[in-house]
This record gives sequence, structure tokens and C-alpha cells, in this order.
Amino acid sequence: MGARAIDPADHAGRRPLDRGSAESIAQTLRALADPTRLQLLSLIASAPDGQVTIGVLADALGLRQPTVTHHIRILVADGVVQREPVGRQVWISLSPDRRDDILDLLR
Amino acid sequence: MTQRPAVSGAALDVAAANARVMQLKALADPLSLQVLSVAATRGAVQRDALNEALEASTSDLAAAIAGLSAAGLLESRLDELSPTPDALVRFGRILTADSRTAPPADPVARGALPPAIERVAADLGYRFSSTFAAETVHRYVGESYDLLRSRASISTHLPSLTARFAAERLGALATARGLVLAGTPEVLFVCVQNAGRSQIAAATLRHLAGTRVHVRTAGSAPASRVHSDIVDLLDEVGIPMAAEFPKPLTDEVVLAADVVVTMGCGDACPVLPGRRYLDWALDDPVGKDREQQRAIRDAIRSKVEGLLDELGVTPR
Repeated sequence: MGARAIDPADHAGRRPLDRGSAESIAQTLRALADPTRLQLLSLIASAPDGQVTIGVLADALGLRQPTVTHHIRILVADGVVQREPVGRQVWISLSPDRRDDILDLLR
Repeated sequence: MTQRPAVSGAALDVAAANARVMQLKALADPLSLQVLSVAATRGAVQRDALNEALEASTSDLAAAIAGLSAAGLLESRLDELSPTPDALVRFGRILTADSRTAPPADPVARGALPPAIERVAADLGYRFSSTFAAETVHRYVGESYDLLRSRASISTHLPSLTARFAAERLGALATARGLVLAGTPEVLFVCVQNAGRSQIAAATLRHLAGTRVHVRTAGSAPASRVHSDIVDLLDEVGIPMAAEFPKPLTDEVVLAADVVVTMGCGDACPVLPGRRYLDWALDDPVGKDREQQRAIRDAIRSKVEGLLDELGVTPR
């Protein structure tokens, strides 16, 4: 049947989600529904330049680097964060187009 | 070897992270998202309308509503479901189909809040006056208002929503600083239907005293629901109505109370030793015109302020 508008827009021009959008957002929310991943996101969001290394994240939460790498991989796969290798370091930052939504979630 | 960059802010603590995980799990299901989305775009929605809009089975819908309610994202009042302030602030943006293109609301200029929101700031400033400076509370209320305004539907009760959101956050902050009061007095408000006067009094006392007073309500002949006028009447002055249903007056609720305030229920209220009884002579706002209702609301407020004085509940 595909996506369809289920309701006319309200006075502010806001429309509710159709089934298709709801399914894709639900998938992202499942990826985020983990306390460690939320803690990682809060650290990335509050990093001075908006980017941080795996090592710093691991130190801050008292976790092993492979554990952090595993969680970051899930977040990258969903497009919530992005990784950028610079030399031997890998810098992690929030994806610019998802930043506002993630900051809301951490409020 | 380059210096490792430091992380400035503290990570979300485990309790806060777990609370959000619970909300995310409740919402990580397409039908639940659609339910909250319809409620958020309309401001409030009846169950029947939700059924029509979403073409889901009644049992699936009931499960989605129950899950969202348990996670503190959806609440029901007067037969309608509406998103909580938490839901709007944390998820409001992703709940509308066109949020990414909608321009953000302009932040309110300093000192230029609408009158009802100024009132919320003044009330909360009083309530938190020994914990936070009035300017801090004012800024906090202004920010809460901005957050909610840009995410809420037009039909939402914005002043009362702002008051609840700001009060919860300020309260949590005060608790985190170890400023909680022990020996909290319990006040019971009783009127005939528990649908008008007692609801106004209870909401006003909660608004002014926060967690420093426990508030309960009951009626000698409870109505089936709180009158919808009452919610509007309180919203005009930025006082949130708790999700309450009229409840019968039983010996147990009287037993639990330190102070019993009756408003026109007369002999129907059981008299138990050791309780303080007050009788407030007030007209029933239900069925009156709006001006008369406002006068009753304001009279209740001044009596509640007097009661707070008598209880020795001073601002923190």
C-alpha cells in the first residue's frame, strides 16, 4: 500500500507520520535504545569540537576500546554518527543532519 | 605524541540513560510512533479517532497506548490522549512528517514572554526561590516554552505544559542538589463532584508548593469526569491539571490527610479526630459563565496561598 497521508495537516501545517516513515524511524530508535550508546552519544555531543576519538570515549566510560568500537559501528550503520580517519586516529562525530534530533533525545 | 582531546561535558548518568532507553523501546515500534505522532500533531486525540486514523486492531492499539503511557510519553485526560512534555521535547521533531523542513520557532526575546508564561515564571520563581535565583527560573521557563512551542501542536495547552516541564526539571535539579523536604504535610480537598472546585484547588496547591505538600482530592458524589472548562480555566493562568479522575470520598483518604478542606460537601465528609478541618465557602464553577469561573478560580488561589502560609510551607 505504501506511504499515505493519514490525516489532513493541523493548523501549524504539521502532518503525522505515515507507516513508511514510522518504520524507518522505529529502526533508528531501536539502534539507540541502549544505555551505553546513549552515554556515548552524550559524550560525542558535548565534545569541544564536536568530535572525539574511540580512546577518549573508552576512557570516559571505563570501557574497553573494542566494546566502544562495537557500539560506534552500530551507530554508524544507522547513520547517526560518522567516522573520519585522520592519520592513525579515527574521529567520531554526530551526523550533521541528525544532530538536532539526537540533542533533543539527550535533553 | 599529540595530546588527547578532553571531553568537556559529563556523560549522561546511568539512571538517566536507562530512563531514556525505556522511552526509546516503547517508541521503537511503527504503530506506537504513529499513535504518538497523531496525538502530537493534533495536541490531543480521542481513542476512537485514533482507531479511524490508524487502521490498527483494537488490541494492538491498546498495547501501543499502554506502552507509551508506562514510559511517560502519553497521558490520558478527559477521554483524550495527549503527549507528555517529555515526549514533545525529546521526540517532537521526529514525530511530524515535515519537521525537517519546518523553520525553527524564533527564540523568545529576553523578557518578552507572553503574559501567561511570565506568570508561570513568577509562580515557579516563588516556589523555587530559596534554591534558584528568579532570573535562573525565568530563563529556564523561557527555554522550556521555546522548546515546547516549536514542537507542540497549536491546540496544546502550552502555558500549563511549560509549567509542568520547567517544574519537573527544576525539581530534579533541586533534588540532585540534596534539597528535599521530609515530613511532607498531606492536604485533602473535597467537594461534591470532585470535578471543579477541588480539582482547581489541588492543581493550584501542587503548582505553588510542588513536592512540599502532598495533595489529594475526592468528592462526596463524584462526577464521571473532570469538567473540560476547568482545564482551560487553569491553563489561562499557566497551572497544569494533573491527570485526575473524580474519586469517591472514603474514610481512607480522610485518614491519610493532615488537613481536610471541604468546599460545599457539608455533612458528607467523615470527621475523624486529629485532623484539621477547613471549610471554604465557594460557588461551583461548573455551569457558570467564564467571568464568574475566573473569579472562583482566583478566590481559590488566594485561599490556597493562605493555607500555604498557615502550613508554614515557605519557599525553598
